[in-house]
Amino acid sequence: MTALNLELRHPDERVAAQRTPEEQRAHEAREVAQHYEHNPEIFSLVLDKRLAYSTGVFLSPDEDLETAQARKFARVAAKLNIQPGEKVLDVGCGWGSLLLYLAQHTEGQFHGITLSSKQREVALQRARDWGVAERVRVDLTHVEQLNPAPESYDVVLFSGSIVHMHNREVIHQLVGRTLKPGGRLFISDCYFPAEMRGDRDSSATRYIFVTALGYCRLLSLSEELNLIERAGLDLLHVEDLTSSYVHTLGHWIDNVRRNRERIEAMAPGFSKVLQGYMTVAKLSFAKRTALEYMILATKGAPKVHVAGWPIPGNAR
Amino acid sequence: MAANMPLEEIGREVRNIIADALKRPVEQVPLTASLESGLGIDSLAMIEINIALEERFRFAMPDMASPAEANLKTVEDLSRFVAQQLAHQKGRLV
Ligand SMILES: C[S@@+](CC[C@H](N)C(=O)[O-])C[C@H]1O[C@@H](n2cnc3c(N)ncnc32)[C@H](O)[C@@H]1O
Repeated sequence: MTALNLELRHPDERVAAQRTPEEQRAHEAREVAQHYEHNPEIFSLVLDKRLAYSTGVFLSPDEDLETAQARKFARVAAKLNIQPGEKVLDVGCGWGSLLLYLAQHTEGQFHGITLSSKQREVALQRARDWGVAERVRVDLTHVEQLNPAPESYDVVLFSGSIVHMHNREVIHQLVGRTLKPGGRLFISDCYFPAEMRGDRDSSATRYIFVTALGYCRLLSLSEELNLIERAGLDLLHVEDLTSSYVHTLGHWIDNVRRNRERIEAMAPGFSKVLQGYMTVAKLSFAKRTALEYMILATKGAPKVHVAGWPIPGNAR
Repeated sequence: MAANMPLEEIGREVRNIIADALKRPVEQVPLTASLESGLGIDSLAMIEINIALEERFRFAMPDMASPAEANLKTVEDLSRFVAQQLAHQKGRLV
């Protein structure tokens, strides 16, 4: 199969395309980690109590952040239907939000990876606190350096993390090899509309992709789906969460406002970076110049039955 | 308290904040300057200015991707807008 020519939509992507894969990997590991290496206490002032750093699922704008994130966890759990003993890889596990929720609510075996050692420490500490440490492992590594054995995982997750990865074809081929038959791939992340909408070369875009978050590459949804199919997986379900992300970002921004002094005391200037990039993102999702989707795919015969959806997955 | 600060003083602070964000001397930011065509305030600059205003006056600015979105043409318009928001929100943070 010839390589897919993914569109380069932003100046920083064009720079990335000139680097060797090794150079780009080192670039991502260094630049992306910076954001997540900030004091975890800062993020605990801004996010929900499980520290989910990706969109919740809002049924209405009046709901609070905890409700929306709890609904997201429950919905993802329902989508994955993890069986006792199944092996789950969470690529970009953050402080362990989804990873630990799933560990607490299923009898699977969990392996998270992150680029931030502070995130790793928090995730492992919470795994101990919540009594799931013997089924949770967290490593500090770039996904491209993981080298998992073929057919070694039942589930691979990317929640708000694949956006940081430039070499997407490599990532999807790795997922395709690594999943067992019946394995599931889950992605929750943001995409550009396929046609040009909004200014992608603006200083605001650069601020969010480079200054605040180190490295980001937004594909179009169809490009990502194409890569998934070309890795030998079949798509089961795609769900739009763009408006939910507008509400999630609204809550995060309000939390930055409420805690500005405390954040500034821990990391001078960081409350501005957080509020600035979150405001750019919120305006983009509100205008749909950026879109947010959840994607579910299977390797071979599916272990989840999507015909009966909309799935309940309600917050409890 | 910021809620009953005189408009003149708010105007001075707004000029300082804009000058800071654009890295220009405050003399180049008169109340009459046009935000977009005169000072060249783009979407990111507007967001940064709004955050600095929030920090200074301890209130919440509404979302806007450009001054025009809130019908603001000049530095003076922005100052009046801040004064109105302050009176309205009475120093409440969010
Ligand atoms: C926005 S956070 C999402 C965290 C978590 N999945 C959640 O939903 O709460 C992105 C995470 O991806 C990780 N990450 C980004 N690029 C990565 C890579 N190439 N390999 C491993 N982890 C990566 C970051 O370290 C961070 O933990």
